[in-house]
Amino acid sequence: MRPKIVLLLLFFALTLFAQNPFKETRYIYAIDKTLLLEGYITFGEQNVIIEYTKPQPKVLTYFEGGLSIQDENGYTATQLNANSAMNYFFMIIKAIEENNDALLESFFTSKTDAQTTILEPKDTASQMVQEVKITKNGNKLKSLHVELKNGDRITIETVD
Amino acid sequence: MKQWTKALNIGFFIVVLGLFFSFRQMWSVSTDLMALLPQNKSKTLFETYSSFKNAKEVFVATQGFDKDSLSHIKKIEERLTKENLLKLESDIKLNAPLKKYIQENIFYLRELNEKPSQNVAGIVQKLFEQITTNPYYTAIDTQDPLGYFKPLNPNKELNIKNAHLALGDFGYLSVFSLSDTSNTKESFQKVYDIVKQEVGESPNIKAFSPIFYFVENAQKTQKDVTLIIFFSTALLLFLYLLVIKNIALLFNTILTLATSGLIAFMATCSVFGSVSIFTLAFGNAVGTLAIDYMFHHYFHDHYSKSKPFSRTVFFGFLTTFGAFFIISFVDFPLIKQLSFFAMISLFLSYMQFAILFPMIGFKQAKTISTFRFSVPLPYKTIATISFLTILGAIYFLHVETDLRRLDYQNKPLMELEGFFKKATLKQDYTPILIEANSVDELILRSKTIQKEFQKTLTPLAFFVDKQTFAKRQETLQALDFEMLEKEVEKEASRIGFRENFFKNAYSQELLYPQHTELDASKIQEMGFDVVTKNNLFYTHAMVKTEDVKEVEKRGFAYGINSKEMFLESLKHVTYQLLFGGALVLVLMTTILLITCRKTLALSSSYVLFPTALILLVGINDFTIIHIFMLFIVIAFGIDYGIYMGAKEHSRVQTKNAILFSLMSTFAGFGVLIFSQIGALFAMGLVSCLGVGAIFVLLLGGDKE
Repeated sequence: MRPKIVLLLLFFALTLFAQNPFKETRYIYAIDKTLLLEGYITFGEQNVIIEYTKPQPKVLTYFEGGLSIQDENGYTATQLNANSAMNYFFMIIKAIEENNDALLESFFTSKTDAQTTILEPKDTASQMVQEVKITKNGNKLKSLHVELKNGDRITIETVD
Repeated sequence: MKQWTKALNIGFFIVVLGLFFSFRQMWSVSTDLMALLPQNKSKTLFETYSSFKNAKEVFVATQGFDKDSLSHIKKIEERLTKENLLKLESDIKLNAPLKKYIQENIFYLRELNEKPSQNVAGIVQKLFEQITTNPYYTAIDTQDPLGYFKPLNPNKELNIKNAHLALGDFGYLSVFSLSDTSNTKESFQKVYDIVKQEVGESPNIKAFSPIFYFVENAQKTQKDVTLIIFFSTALLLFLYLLVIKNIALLFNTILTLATSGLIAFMATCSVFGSVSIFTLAFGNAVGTLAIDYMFHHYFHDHYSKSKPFSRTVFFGFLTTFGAFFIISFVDFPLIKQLSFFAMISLFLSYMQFAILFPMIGFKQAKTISTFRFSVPLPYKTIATISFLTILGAIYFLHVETDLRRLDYQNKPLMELEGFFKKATLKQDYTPILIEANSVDELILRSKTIQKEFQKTLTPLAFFVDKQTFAKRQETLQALDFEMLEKEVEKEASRIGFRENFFKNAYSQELLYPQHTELDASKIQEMGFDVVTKNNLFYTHAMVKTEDVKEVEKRGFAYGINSKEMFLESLKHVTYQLLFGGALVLVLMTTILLITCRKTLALSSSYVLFPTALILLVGINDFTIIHIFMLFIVIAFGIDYGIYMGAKEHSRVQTKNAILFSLMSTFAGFGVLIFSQIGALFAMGLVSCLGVGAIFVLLLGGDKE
């Protein structure tokens, strides 16, 4: 259950940079190392495609009930059950796209101070997430920072 | 003396009316069909099931999965829970006690992977690769890095979309339970009102709850019965004015019927606690049976001339009263109540029409001359064919036992129920009740059913009973987790994991916790349904309908089905009904033989022909109400048979009396055919068929 929520938050982060190139810094407490990733995200009507260009080219496609990964080893697809992270993923994406506050409020309470919005997790999310920070430059997203309770940290920044 | 007797009827009515108003807090009318069923195991189980919050949940769904729909359902949730009448049950978040229970028993709740890999080094290496090379963020389960346990998903039976419960492809779904568990009509009404107020009439929102049947059906039944009573009374008044043409007699007849009805109502209330709305409608109609006595006395000059006591009417009354008396012994509250009401009402009416009215005296008005012609009818043939038809029809008769067929056919609500069941894929499921001597046994039995039957929804099977706990503990003890944990730590350090990162893997605390003793209140706190009754514990589950019989063979699970319950209730009284029916037949035959030996074919055809017709028309759909009304048709059929067989009276006047009785019977009983309530419609249909058949017989000539 836990990895799914973190996965969800990552996607949540990525969706903030819809149709934009992004840079991701992933600190992994378990190995005390930081990974750097780069890529693009595209939103379809029914799916979301995340194309990583670095460190290795990989394409992730999410659609309702399923996930596919395409890399140099070929194509793999998994059917996810209805209440899996996949649904949460779509939920978050829609929330961002549609300014769906009702949906976001299912997981977070938010505090906005000037250009920064802090999302405080509640209920199930609070078991995993310490804090989410969104920084904007005007109406444009600048960065997103997720701190997890297991010590991992993920920072995503838009690339101009 | 004359003045005194004239005032007696009025005085009697005033006293009864006074009593009625003085003790009005004692009288109540019930619309609950369940209350009319005998108390047996089946009914007790049904009542137990009804006490679960699960049986009275309120479902609200908003169409679509867009942001407006989600925002709408959340607002509805907020408003409906604001007054604490309803509690949101569809929240997919786990409550605190359940969360704690899961945390403490996680290795006992998660299924064991049958063949976990023994290659610790390989698994740890794979974990390292996953977190470093997976394109999406991956977290490690530090409690079970080797994957001995399958992931736990307490919401796996739910359809969730956008973090909210979903109703198939329709939209979002919210499920509420009633905070007030008193199960009173008032509490149901409050909930109904608030839901209707919040949900409104929007086509994009659907709301349903089984409790809506209680509220809407009671309202519709009351409205329907009031309208029918009003219509029936108006029709009767018009008819009496047309036929009797004697205001004093009409006035006294109305007083007599009202007095008898009121006394019967008060006596039934005192004995049974309340009077069913069905008995009330029936009671109004019984008055029309009683008016038959007045018509015969009146048309044969008993009120205008000094005539001896009418033996014919007495035998007619005795047969009807006797029939009700015999079937009142059938151990079925509905039958008892109807018979009791009818006996009192008929007895009082007869006493007044046969004794008091001749004392008061009424002038005979010129009656409308009717039967100037007659068609020769072969009564012997009619009686014989009818008798054979009855024998054949009884063989092929299908008795409909679905209790809901007798209630108001609330089609819009039934459609809504069907919609929710279909959308939640529960239309092929039947609720069952699981019984045990303890909560622990209840959990074990839930698990047994879940294991033995595919696709069951057994909420309590989620928990761990003592036996399962001990088995799992034994299995875990056989696996050397202490050694595995050390190996994981060693390999992790070698590969490059942080020191002590897996220190919590397979902790003693999770491997060997104390078994959590669960009682009913703890289970309820965690949001699950358990009730205690007579030192036994009950919970519910849903099984495929075709599996119910098999599940019941376990001896601790019972299907909850109102149709079956009614059938079982009927089965208990089958012999009593058959015995009662046979006794009634013996009584009628005896009276027919005593009073109409010479006109047996003619007189018996008044019973046999309507009976045959009713059985033929209702052969595929015969309810208990059909059966009961058939008894009544037989009762007035035999009255008319006796009257027709009486040689001391003018046949034309007898026919006149019967015709007007039939007309008033139609006005009393027959109008019920316009009712939307199954039970009342059945009463109306049967009486219309009876009236029609007897009318045909009346057209016959004097010769048999």
